[in-house]
Amino acid sequence: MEQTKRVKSVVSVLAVCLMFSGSLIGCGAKDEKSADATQQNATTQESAQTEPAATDPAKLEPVDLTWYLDTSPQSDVASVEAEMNKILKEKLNVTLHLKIVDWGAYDQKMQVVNAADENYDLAFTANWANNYYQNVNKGAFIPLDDLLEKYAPTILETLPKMGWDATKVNGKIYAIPNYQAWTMTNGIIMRKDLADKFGVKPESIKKLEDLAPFLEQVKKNNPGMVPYENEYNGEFGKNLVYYGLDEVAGRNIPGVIKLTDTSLQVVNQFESEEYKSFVTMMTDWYKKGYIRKDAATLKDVQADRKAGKTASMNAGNFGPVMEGEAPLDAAQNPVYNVRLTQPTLLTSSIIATMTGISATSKNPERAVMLLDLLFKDKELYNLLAYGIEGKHYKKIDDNNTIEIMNDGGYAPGFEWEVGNALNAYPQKGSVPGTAEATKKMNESSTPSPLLGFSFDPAPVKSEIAQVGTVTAQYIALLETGSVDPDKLLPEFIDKLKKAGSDKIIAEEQKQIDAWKQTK
Amino acid sequence: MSYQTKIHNSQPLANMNVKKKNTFWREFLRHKGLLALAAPGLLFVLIFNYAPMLGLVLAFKDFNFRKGIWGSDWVGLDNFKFFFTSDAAWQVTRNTIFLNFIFILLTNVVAIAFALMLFELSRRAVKLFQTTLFFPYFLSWVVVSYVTYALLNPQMGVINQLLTQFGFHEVNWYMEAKYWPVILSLAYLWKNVGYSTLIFYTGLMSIDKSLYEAASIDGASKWQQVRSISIPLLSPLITLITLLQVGKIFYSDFGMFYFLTADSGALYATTDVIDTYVFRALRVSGDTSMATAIGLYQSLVGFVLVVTVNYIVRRFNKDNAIF
Amino acid sequence: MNFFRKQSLSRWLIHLWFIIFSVFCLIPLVYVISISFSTESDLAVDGYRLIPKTFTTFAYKYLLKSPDQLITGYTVSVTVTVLGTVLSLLITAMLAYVLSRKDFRGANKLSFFIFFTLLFNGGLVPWYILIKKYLFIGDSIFALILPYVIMPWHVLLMKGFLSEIPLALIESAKIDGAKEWRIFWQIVLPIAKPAMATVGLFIAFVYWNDWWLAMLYIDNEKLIPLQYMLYRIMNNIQYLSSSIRPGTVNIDISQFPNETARMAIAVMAAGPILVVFPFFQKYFVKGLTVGAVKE
Repeated sequence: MEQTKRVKSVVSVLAVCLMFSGSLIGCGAKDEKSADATQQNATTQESAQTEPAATDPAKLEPVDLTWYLDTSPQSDVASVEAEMNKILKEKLNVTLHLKIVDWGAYDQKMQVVNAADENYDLAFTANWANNYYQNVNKGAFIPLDDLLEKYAPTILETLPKMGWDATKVNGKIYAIPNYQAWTMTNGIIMRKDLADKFGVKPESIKKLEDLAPFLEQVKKNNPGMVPYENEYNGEFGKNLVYYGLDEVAGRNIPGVIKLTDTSLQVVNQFESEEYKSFVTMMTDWYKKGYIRKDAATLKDVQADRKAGKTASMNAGNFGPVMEGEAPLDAAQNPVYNVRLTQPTLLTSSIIATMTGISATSKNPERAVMLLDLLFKDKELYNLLAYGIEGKHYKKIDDNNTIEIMNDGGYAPGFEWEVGNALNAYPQKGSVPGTAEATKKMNESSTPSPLLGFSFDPAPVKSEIAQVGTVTAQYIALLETGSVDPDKLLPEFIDKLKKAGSDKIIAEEQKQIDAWKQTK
Repeated sequence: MSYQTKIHNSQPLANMNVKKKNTFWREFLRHKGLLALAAPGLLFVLIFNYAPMLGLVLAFKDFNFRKGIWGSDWVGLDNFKFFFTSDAAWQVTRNTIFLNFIFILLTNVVAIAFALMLFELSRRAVKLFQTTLFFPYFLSWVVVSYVTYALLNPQMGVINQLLTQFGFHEVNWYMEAKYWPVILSLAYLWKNVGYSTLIFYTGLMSIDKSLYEAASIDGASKWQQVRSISIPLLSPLITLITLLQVGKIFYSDFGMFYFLTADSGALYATTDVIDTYVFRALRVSGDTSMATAIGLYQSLVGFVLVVTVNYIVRRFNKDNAIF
Repeated sequence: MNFFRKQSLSRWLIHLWFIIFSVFCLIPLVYVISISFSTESDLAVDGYRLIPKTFTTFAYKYLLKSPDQLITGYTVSVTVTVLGTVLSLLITAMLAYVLSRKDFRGANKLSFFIFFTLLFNGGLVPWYILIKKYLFIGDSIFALILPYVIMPWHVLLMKGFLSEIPLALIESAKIDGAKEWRIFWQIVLPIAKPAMATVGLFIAFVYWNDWWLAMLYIDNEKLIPLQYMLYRIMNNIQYLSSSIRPGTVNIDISQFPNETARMAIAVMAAGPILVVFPFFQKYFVKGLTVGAVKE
């Protein structure tokens, strides 16, 4: 009975839900992130540099640093920590304490830790976990511009400028981005065997609409399959780059700009022609049976994928190399990866993984030095990323390719969370040269005209909360094609307006215009 | 009849008389022994319940980690705005009250009936049934939602297969709002009736056995015994439980509303309650101040309701009121 | 004769009714157990069945992969539940008894004092700050026990039960010169056995089912209770199954338990507490007579 829970306010309800949402709702985001990360597993083969540390460790006071990280709990963190501390003690006179919090609990835990002003030094932060902007707004992190100048030569040298632009809030840097694939490339994945059987060439697919003949064939010939995967979390937001748009305040918050529009005119994506044509197409697909009947309430897409029932799906984000992309299903049927856009640099895709320095830290400069060392010292970085050789992983060739040992007790899988993922030892099965390709892709891609802008939601937070309830309701229905858009779309737009979407957009425009002046 | 006189004997020495202001403390001192018994419990309440209540000021502040709870800026009623200016405020408030009202009524009536029925059975049977009635209580809503999904899903749900077999039309359960008050009520009953039954059964057990013996000798039938002994003696407990539940009427069992309905947007007309609405609203920002504000609103309304109902109860029967 | 037969007929009807209702309570449970012993691929293809198509203990094996952790989890949970229930039940009963005393005119005000906390609370953040920064019990077993010692709902429920004790009984003991705590121990507690059992059971449920306190306050792996451990495994599975890439991590995802493990977790979490049910039921002694206690 409900009475038995003690802290039964909305706060606690929220908390519980955030945990579930962390795993259910947040999956989309994580999915992409680790897909990115997997691309980075391959690394360059340069030997680790062994220059002396920038500052003489003999002159440094001994300090303890605490670092909050977000991944599945590992049973053997202690031995990795001990091994790292041998190096850190010698180079920085630092004793590091790793606090690994599991996926479901991280947001909640960091929220109370920050709110209670508890002492810690570093924390993983992003736009999808331990919300970066929220934390900056509430004063959880310190600005890093000066510290970086002084203590982080390697990081400054490694990261391209647009990375720093993306992290800026009111002109200041509050977190250090981890280096990985920073771009967003939309596209679709489809089963190779089926495409070949039906004579559908991946090159022939230039637009989402071009997928229809494939779906029709699947529906006709493989009635047990799901031609196109779609679920309740919304499909349009995954295709923003495909439609040439970039989000202003968040994927499902009204307000986008066109990637080609240098005047930075903010529009409501849900009122756009693009949105209308997308949901109309989805309705068409839904009616023809290409989409699961219960897509609007479907949260777990894994079951279908594993069972080999998924014939095609939105790819989320593609990395720099196309071969070696993961198959969809358990039977490991190969797939075609169809890129529908060029890689584009977005603020949202860059700030997907960063490290912030806590305002409660007593030794922020040492925390920055630690991160700099992780960017520089490959051995240290790989120790944190993969654990101890022979215990947690083994090397399988001379190129430092490694295989993770499943029973080792340390397989955090967070290479993309702890520094320069391009320095990670390549894992078995990864494509050689991925790291170079990633670097090249990051440096050569077109940045969004909005790159470097960050939205302060405070003036419209009531509106954003209200709009959030409306989008959560309608996106699932409209973007899965489960309802008639002629009726529901106007209703959706009307409710958005009542909830204050126009006010949000006006505020976005105001802040963007002000930002343009300073640029 | 003897059992009635006994009931009267147990009445307190009513209307001791009206004394001066400091009566409360004098009473306290007079009952030092009782006070000592209550002291550890009161201490826990003070520390774990009352001390954090100071944090309610967050509802009127823009919480900033650096400035802390006390130092954060006052923002008046800004944190309440997102809810009260919303189009959906009335709908979710209505749903919350209506559904919880049904739940309270249904669960208590059924649980009292169950308890009275169990009371007639042998101890072995009671043990068995009580245990089975309790099984659902131990399954989380997430797990239950998997089973209900297996029953209701539009692809190959058991219910739809049965419907078509008997010549009815299939129902797309997760798109049709009108069925859900019934589905939710049944699910709530199913999950909680074991818990409530146990409460009322315990209440029955504490009734003096000699009352029933006396009634039997007087030739009262079982039904008469229920009506004139069990129900009247149980009524303070029933009133108490109902009052406590009324206090919580603005809160909902979030797990049920979120997981059982698969959070289907098409069902919000009948299933969206304050807790689910606020969850959606604050999912992105996780704003502590706004969440505190709504919690305060829910508590306040529940509080006013209980105080009112308690007052009414008091007018009828002083003993049944909880304070 | 006629009267007797009628009695037994109604008794049969009651039995029948409970049997039907019990079946409704049992079916989902059977589903849950059945799924926990099924293979993931069977579920994806055939949906749920009351009896698994292919019987497998794979999900359990997966969960039992690190038995040490599981043993720690059970030990912590049992310790917390036993200590917590004893402490909480005692303090709750003492407080509730005072509230139930109709001759104590402060009882109403105190009841209100307790009731108020059922409705109002400061929310998560102040609560967390209190326990971490003022009570200094974070990351200790006390953080898992103390916050639930007094729950207003249990206190008021207990008050409801204890109010049924006739005041005459207590008055007569007082005339005999007994002190309050003696009355409580020697008269009230024995007569209130069913109430103690019921509230004790509810308290035990709360302690047993809780993972929330552990999530907030516990960093030490040796203090992680079973429920939080299972909760983490669940999250872990969900995460891995949403992002796992063959080739980078060497696990066969078709055999990776998702729903089956979820159900196995439900079984493992609820199983042990159901065992204690009969233990509490022992105290459900029907209709203690007032006279019996007086002696």
